[in-house]
Amino acid sequence: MKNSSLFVLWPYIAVVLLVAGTLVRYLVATRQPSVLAAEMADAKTIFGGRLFRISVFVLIAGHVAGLLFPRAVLSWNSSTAGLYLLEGLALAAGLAAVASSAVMIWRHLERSGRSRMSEAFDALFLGLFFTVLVSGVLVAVLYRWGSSWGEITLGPYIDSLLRGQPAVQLATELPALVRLHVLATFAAIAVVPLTRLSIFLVVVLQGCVVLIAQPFRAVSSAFAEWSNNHNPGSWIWPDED
Amino acid sequence: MRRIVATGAGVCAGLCALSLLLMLAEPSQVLQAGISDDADYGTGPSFSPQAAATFNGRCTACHTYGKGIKVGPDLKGVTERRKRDWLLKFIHGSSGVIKSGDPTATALFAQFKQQRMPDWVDLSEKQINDILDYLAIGGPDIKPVDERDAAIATSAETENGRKLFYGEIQTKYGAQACVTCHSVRGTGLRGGSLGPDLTVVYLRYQDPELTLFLRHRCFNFQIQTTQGGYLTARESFALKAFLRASALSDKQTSYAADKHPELRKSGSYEK
Repeated sequence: MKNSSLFVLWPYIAVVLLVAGTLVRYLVATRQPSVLAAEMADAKTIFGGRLFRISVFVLIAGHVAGLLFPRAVLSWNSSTAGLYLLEGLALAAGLAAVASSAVMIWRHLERSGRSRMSEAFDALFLGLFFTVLVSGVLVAVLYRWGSSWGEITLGPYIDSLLRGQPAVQLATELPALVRLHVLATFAAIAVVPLTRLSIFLVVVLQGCVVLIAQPFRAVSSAFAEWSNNHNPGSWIWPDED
Repeated sequence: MRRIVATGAGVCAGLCALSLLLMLAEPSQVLQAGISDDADYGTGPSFSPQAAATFNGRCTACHTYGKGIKVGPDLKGVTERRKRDWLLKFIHGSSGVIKSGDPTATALFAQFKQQRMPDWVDLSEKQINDILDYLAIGGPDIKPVDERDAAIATSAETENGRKLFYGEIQTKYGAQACVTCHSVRGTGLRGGSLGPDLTVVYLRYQDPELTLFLRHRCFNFQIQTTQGGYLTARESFALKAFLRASALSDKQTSYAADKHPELRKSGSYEK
């Protein structure tokens, strides 16, 4: 597969796999609600660790903020102190995530799993995620100020993907390490539904469904109450009352 | 089970709230960045672009500027050879001036094989004056600001180039500061390292090549700014001046000599 097609097709394939896989997991989980809590506890043991969670949250939030508000990030980075602070924080979070995920992989190798398949996919995901983290840290060290140049290269690339008009050159012209970071990220995203980590997505999806369903449920219960009060049966068949 | 679902709903609501907060926070930060006016800095002959366009559209078919006679006379120095009032009258209606028996007009008519210039009656006095002003300051010989040799840059222009390089002044069309991807030696870690170090770029590429390079985006694939431009001519010149100053400072030159001995041979250091 050519480098450019990889950057056009792979992101879409990864997202489709993530969405479809999560939906399937959600449908399975709703049929077996008792399993949900058990799987959740299992996933917490595998992907646990406060340092890992905090550092990964900081990294993901930073990347999302960079994608959503590029001008604000560039404006922040125009001050030297702001730039050093942002990059320092991101590098510290990256190093913490690398260290904690290395520990997690080590623990995972020691643990005996419930099923070989899920163990294998968990290991695959952890391996890919570790690649993402290490390549990210190396990019930060070797190609300074990614939070700035990323806003004029990778940010517009992701934007072009979202618009359905992929500007692949924005990614393919970048150094190999940056390309590895991008492709490994999409690979990790694609694998998520096959891992026990997906249970977190199922829970979030379930929460969304509850939130969305709430107004409909309120309307339907209100309608049921109204129809009970105005039941035409009482005046069609008054004798039956 | 209920607790898990409630946590999921909480995460979802939290993410929505965070997105909303960030969306509301952005505009104020963007406003702070501001955009400097290109006209604030830099010097050079100023002329009406319309005058240059009119000259190119109407005059160059028969006249040259400093390249000899074509159909009519060479217009280089015409504002010194003739009085402004006479030129105004002649351009506006040459046939009338010739008919009136004006000796200069008659002589020109005879000299140029009785080829009469069109009467540019549609041009206003201001438009003609603008064209004459344009010719008086050099006409087509005027180089675009960015083509000037960086050696003639003032210290203010070099300082503006430094500010543009480091993003202390925003470019008019929103092009990113060079420091995003490049560095110049001697400025610590402020510069990026995705692109090459630009310390000796002026010595390597020299003035004309650097001018041409700065007229294009660094990345051909870079998405267009909303205004459609990249750098203004003055911004380009200021950046060139800063890069020249960086390259030629004593400290940098010795650095360049160590890194690029081929430049010593080409005599770039003596520039």
